[in-house]
Amino acid sequence: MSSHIIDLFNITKSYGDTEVIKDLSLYIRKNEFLTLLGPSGCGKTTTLRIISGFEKPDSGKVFFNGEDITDLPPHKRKVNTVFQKYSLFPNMNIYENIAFGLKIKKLPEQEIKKKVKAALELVELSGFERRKPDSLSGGQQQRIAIARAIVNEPEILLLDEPLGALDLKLRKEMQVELKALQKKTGITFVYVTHDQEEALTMSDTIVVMNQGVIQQIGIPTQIYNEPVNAFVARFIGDSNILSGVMIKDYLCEFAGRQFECADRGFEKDEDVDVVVRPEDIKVVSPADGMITGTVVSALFKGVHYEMIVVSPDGFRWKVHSTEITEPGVEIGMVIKPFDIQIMKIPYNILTGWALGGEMVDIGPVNVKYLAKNSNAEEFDNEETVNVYILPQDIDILTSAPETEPKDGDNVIKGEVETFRYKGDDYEITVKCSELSLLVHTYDKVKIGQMIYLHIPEESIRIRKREEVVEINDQGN
Amino acid sequence: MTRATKILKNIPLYVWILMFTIVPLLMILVYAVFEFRPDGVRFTLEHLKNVVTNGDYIRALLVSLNYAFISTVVCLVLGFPLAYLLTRLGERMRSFVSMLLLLPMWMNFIIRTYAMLSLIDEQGIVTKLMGGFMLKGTDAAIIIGMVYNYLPFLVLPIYTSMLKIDRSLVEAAQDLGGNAFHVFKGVIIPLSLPGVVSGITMVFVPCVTTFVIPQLMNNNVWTIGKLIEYKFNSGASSTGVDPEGGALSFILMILVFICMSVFNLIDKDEENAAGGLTL
Repeated sequence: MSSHIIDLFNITKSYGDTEVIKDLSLYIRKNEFLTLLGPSGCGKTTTLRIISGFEKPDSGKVFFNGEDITDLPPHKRKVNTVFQKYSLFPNMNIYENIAFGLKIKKLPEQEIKKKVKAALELVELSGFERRKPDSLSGGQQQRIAIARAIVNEPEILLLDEPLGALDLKLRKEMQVELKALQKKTGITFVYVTHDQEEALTMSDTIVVMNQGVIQQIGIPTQIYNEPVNAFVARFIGDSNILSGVMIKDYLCEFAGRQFECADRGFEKDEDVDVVVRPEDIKVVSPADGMITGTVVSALFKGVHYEMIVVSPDGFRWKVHSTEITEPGVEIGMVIKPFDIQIMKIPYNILTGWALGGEMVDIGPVNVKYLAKNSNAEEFDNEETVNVYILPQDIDILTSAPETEPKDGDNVIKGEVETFRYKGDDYEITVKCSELSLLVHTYDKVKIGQMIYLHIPEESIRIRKREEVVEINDQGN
Repeated sequence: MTRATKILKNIPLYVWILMFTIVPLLMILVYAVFEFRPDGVRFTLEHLKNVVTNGDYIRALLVSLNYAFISTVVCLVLGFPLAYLLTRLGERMRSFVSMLLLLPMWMNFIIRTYAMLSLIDEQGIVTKLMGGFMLKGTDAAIIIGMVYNYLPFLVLPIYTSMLKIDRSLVEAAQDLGGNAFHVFKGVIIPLSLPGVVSGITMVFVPCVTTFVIPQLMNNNVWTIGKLIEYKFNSGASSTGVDPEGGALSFILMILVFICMSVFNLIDKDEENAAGGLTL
């Protein structure tokens, strides 16, 4: 606990009907470079703003060096931010911008001068004191923004997609510089980005987020090589994601045949997601291949060719190879056991309100669940709970119900948002008003189609939201 | 597009400026330096000289500048915080309140001033509330009239420039340890200065030249506006316009122009100067 500089406990945050952060708990260690990574709208910036104090969580606690700072306003936190748009004061010159925080702290003028000079040296912009922000290039402005934050010697530096507005070359340079700066100063960096490459390059720890929920926390190689679910695998680098079944330990079936793999500890015949990275597929002659397929396209990507290979079952494999195979040619593919990553299928995690009588409100509808599948006998009325539903447990109704679904029918209407073939079945996301559900199905649906989903009551699991204090004690 | 067609396209603009800006300005000058008599037109600089040497005229001018200055300061003291509070409101409340602010502007200026007058004359509620002390006929009455009429013209440009301040700059100041006072001093005030400058212009100039407000609120003083009005209207001789009216207008115009130039220069300095923030 003592090495934690920030502890977030059971944070939730909503804007109107949209819950942007769902029951998030996370700790940040001293002196680490931690990156919050995820697509836009995943809650990463909101998490950062909760640490800086610009957003107040609806529930949950924020601890700084073991001290509760949940209600502390931003200007009293020992945290500084580098904003996405730099946000330099246009009415002040560079010196005044950097000195702003120091003047507020009423430091003697001589010391301020010394510190500003040192900060400018650190970002390699010495001599820029008299310039105005708008006379600087984007990259220079960003460095000044960093200098302005660092000069206050914060214990944590928060960076909100700071390189987003820079061109690729400059971004790459700044990535290296930022990492070096973090090492040199020893300040804890919390970095927000949607760029997976940026995250992999710079971070000590990566936190992958999606829809307000942490998907995986790990060091970069771990996140890349051992993604815990299909979302992480897809978000970090290119990947082939297929539906599979775990026959037994070290043996998995997918793409119409069985493969040796390196994973164990799954239930017998458990449904799983399988990830194979494109660079881990070896191209051989059709006779030698574990799977065969026909190349349909080949693109040169600089170092390798990216080929799309369609196997007889219709799955489109992405394959990277340094040698090109012309489209139309049939090839064989070999995958080694260690290059097969088996992942549990992620639950849909929803926020619900227990209603009593084995009913729970999940937003658009109230659904029935079985008490024996939940971790508590009784819930307080209207108690906020987490609701877990596996994607493969949700059924698509073939025809619209004759009467409008009512509470307890466990039927919910929604629009198909995404649709993806996984070698065997389809993975779809369905938008049901403010909810977004992941569903595995054998039925073919179209994007934009309105469908009815049935959630069997025995597939719904309810968990109490753990108390802050409890988790805190566990941490000790 | 060739140069010729470009000029051709702009002809309506040139005609407009010529008819409604250049010609009226020239007419003021013409009235100032020409005498129109039955026996012919005569050029003379005598009236211009009269105007700048006549003590009464200079006194009227100083009185007017004084009223305008005080009114502008009062407007600023009331209007700046008002504009800031407006920006802090929610979006719907904001448009509602700014509409309330504009509502009196839809009424005729003179009617509005009469309405104000009815509050502070012999029978006025304000007079009764103050135990019979009548504001009408005092300097304060003129200031009240000016502030009441011109306050919205100051609030709106300041409000607009405050709305344009990037929210993230306020957050940046807070992030660097700034409390509400630091944010206000370091970010809000300096970045709303362009609005302040145009707001002051919108108030100061009409305050210098207005004749209706002093005439109604306190007819005992001669302001430059009243003088000009008198020269062109009631004071005009049967032979035509009193040329001193034209001369007065001309001098006043130049004075206002100088005032504004100086003011804009200060504004520019403020923008370029090193010192935006002193804590």
